[in-house]
Amino acid sequence: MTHPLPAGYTHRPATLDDAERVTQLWNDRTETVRGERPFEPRLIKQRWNHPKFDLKTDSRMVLAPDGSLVGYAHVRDVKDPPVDVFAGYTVRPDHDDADWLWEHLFAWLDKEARRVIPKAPADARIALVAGTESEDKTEQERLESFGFEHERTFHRMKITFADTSLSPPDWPEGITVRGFVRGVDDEALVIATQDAFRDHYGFIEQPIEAELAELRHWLAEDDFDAELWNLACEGEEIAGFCACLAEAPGEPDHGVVDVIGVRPAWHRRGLGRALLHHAFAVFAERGIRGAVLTVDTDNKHGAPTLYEKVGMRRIRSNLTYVKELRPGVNRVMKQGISSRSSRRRRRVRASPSSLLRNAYNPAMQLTIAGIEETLKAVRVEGDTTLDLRSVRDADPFGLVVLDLLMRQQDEQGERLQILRPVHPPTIRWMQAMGLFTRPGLRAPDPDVAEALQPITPIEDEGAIMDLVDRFDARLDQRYTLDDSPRFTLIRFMIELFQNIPQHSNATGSVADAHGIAAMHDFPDGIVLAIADKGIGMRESLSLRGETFESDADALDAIVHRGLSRFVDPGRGAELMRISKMIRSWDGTLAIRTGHALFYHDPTQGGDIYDVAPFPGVQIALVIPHRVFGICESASENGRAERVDEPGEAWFNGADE
Amino acid sequence: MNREVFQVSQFGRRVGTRSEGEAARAKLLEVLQALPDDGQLVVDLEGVEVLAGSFADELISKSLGLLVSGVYGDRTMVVSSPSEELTEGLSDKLTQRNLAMLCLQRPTGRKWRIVGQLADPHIETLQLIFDRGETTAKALAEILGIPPNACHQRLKRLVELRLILQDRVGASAPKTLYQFRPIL
Repeated sequence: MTHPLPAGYTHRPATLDDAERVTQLWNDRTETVRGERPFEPRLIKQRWNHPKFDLKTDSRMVLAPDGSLVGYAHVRDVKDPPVDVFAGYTVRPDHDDADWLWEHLFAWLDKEARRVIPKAPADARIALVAGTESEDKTEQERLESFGFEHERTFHRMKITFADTSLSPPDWPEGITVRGFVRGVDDEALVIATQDAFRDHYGFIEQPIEAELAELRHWLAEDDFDAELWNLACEGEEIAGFCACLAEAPGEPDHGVVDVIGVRPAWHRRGLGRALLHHAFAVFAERGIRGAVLTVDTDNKHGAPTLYEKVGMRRIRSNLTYVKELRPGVNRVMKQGISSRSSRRRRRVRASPSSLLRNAYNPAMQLTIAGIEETLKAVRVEGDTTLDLRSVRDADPFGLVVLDLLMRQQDEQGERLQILRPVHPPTIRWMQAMGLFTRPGLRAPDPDVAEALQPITPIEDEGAIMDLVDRFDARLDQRYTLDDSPRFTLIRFMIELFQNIPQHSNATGSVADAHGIAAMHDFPDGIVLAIADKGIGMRESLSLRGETFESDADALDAIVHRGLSRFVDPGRGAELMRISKMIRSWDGTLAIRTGHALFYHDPTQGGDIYDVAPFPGVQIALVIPHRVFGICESASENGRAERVDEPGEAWFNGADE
Repeated sequence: MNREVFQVSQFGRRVGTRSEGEAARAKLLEVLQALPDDGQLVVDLEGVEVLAGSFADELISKSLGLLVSGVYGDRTMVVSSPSEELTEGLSDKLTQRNLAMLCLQRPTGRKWRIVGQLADPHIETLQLIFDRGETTAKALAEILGIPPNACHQRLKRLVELRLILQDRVGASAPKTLYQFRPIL
C-alpha cells in the first residue's frame, strides 16, 4: 500500500515535458551531496524513451502544494526475464527529513516492481535494485530502513590526458581493430557482449532478440557516435569491443568509456589494455581532454587494476542496494557467479526449453544439467535428439556428463542425434574438449581452441599416474606454477582419479568404472572435472553395511564425516580434505551423486541441494589462478610469481 | 643401532595410488624384516615431489601398524622428509589410524617432528626424553609435575607407538623398573 501524502501534496506520473524539472531535482540533490550538477534533460529522456518504459505507469512525481517537485521515482522493468527491477528515485534535499515522502516513494516502488511477478518464471527470485552515491548517507539510511541491502560498489574512474603520457595501443598478435557498423555488426556485438559479461555481476541471460532491441534503442540515440565504437577482431570474429560517448555528464571535455569487454577466449592477452589505449587515442585526436568510466570494484577479472595501470583514478563511488521481493532461483550473476537466494535445499527442474541451463554448477554459468530429463522429453520416433542449438557455453563438468551419456547411448545401441550449438565459441570449445571427434559428430570448423586437457577416459588403474602427469604437463605448458599448490593439485588428482576404480563400482574393478576427466582454464581459475557412471555414493556406502535414507545423507557423510565404503580406518576422508583445501583457497567445489549436489563457493558457502539425478559421481573443482601464483600480468606472458614458503618448526634431537 | 634407509623415490618422484603403495609395502617389509631386532628403518622421502595420502597409507601407515602390533620385535621406523608439506597426506592417514611417527629433516639428522596424531602432553614428554636421553618414569613425573600414574600412561603410549624404547633395568616386587630412551 502506498503511503498517503500530507494535505496539499499530490502525485502524478511524469510526462516528457517534465524532463527539465526532474533533471533539476536530481541535480539539486547531487549538488548537495558532492557539489556538482551533472545531469541534463537528454539523459533522463533517454531512459524514458526506452521501448519497455512507460511514463504513465512507471514513473511518479510528488508535488508540493505550491506545485514544485519534491520527489520522483521510477521503476524500470526492462529485462527479459524481468527478474531484476531497477528503481530510480530522488528527494529534494529540503525534504530529507520527510519520512512520509520517502515512505510514499519506496512503497510505490515496491508495489510497482511486484507487477513483474506474474511475468517472471515461477521459480525465479525477483529483486528491486537501487543505486546511490557513497556520499549520500541519507539515501543509504533510507534504503536500509526499507529493507534494501548493500550488495555491490562501483567506482567512477577518471583520466585526464594532460596528467599522463598516453601509450599507443599494443594489439595482441592476430588482432585488428575496426569501427562498429550499425546494422551489420549488431548481432555479432550482442553475442560478443553476452560472452564477455556472462560472468559479470548483474548479468542476465536475455534472448538475443531482447538484447538486440536494447542495443538498437541506444544506437538510435543522439549521442551514438560510430567512430567511438570499436571492435577488436581476430579474423571475422569479435574478440573485444569498446563503446564510448564523446561527453561525460557534467564534464563535456571528458569522454565516457561506456562499455568495454573482452571475450573469455581472448583474456590475458592485453586486449583490454589495448582497447583502452585505442579509445584514449581517439578521444585525444578529437581534442577531448580525458575519459571516465564506471567499474565494479569486485570485478573478478581485475578490471579496476587494469584501469589504474593505464592511469585512471577513482573519483567517487556508487553503491548498489538490493531488496528481495520474492525468493527463488537467482537468474542474475552475483559476485561473478549465479547465486542462490536461499541456503535451503531446493529441487531444480530441467525442462526441454531450458536445456543446458545452469542447474547444479553455477560457478561455470552454463552446464549440462538435466540432460537425462531432456533426453526423455525430446525423444522423437525412437531417436534420441539432443538439442544443443541454444547452448551458449559449456564447462568441462557439463561436457563430462554429455560424454558419459553418449557412451551410454553407444553401449545401448541407440543413436544419439545431436543438434550442435550455433554459437561459434561454444562449438570451438566443444571441439577442443574432444566432443565432436567421434564419427559422425565432427564439426566442420577445424579451428580448434586448445583446452588444458580434453576429456580423457580413466580406464586403467595402473595408468593413473601417467594420466596425472599428463594433466599436470598441460597445466605446466600454460603457466609456470608455484610448486606447493601444483603438487597439492596433483595429490587431489591422484585421489580423485583412483576413486573411480576404488569406489564407483560394486566389484572394485576398473573395467566397471567408466570414468573420465577434463581440465580447462576458465576465467574463474583452473577447472578440473571428473565423472564416473558407477553406482553412486549412496550405493557405495551401503557396501559397508550402512543405509542412508537419501543421496544427500550419503553425500553429507562422505564430504563432512569422511566416510568411505571401506571399514579400514585409513580409507576415505579425501573428499573431506579436498573440500577443506578448496575452501581455504576460495575455490569452488561441486560434487554430484544421485539426486544430491554438494556445492561450495566462497560467496555462498557450502550446502547440499536436490538436483536432477545422475548415476555415478561428478566432481568439479575450480581453483583460482592466484592460488598457483598466476597473476593477471604474469598470465599474459605465461610466467608466474612465486611466494616464499613459510618456515617449518623442528625439534632438536638429543645430540644436536 | 643398525639403520637402513629406504628410498621412496625408487617408486617415482610422484607417488601414487593405493595399488602402487601396496606393492611398495611388500618391498619395505622385506627390508624391515631383514633388520636386526633393534634395527631402525628410515623411510626417506628425498627426491619425492608428491606423496599422495593413499600411497603413504599403504606403504607407511600400514607398515607402521604392523610394527606397532609387535610382529617386528623392537624394530623402529621413522620417516625423513625434506619438507613438512610432503608429509601432509601421510600425517592425515596416520591420524585416521590413530598412529604417529617421528619425521626427521634428514635421514642422518636428529631434528624431528611428529607426523600423525599425538597429543601435546605426549609430545612434551617425548621432547623431555630426547633432551635427557635415558630416564625413568619417576624422574619424568617429577620434572613434568604430574602424578606417576599419568606419566606411566604417557610413556605406555609412546612405547606402543615405537616412539621411545623401554629397557627393563630390574625388579623390586611388586614393580618392574624400566628405563626409557629415545629411538634416535
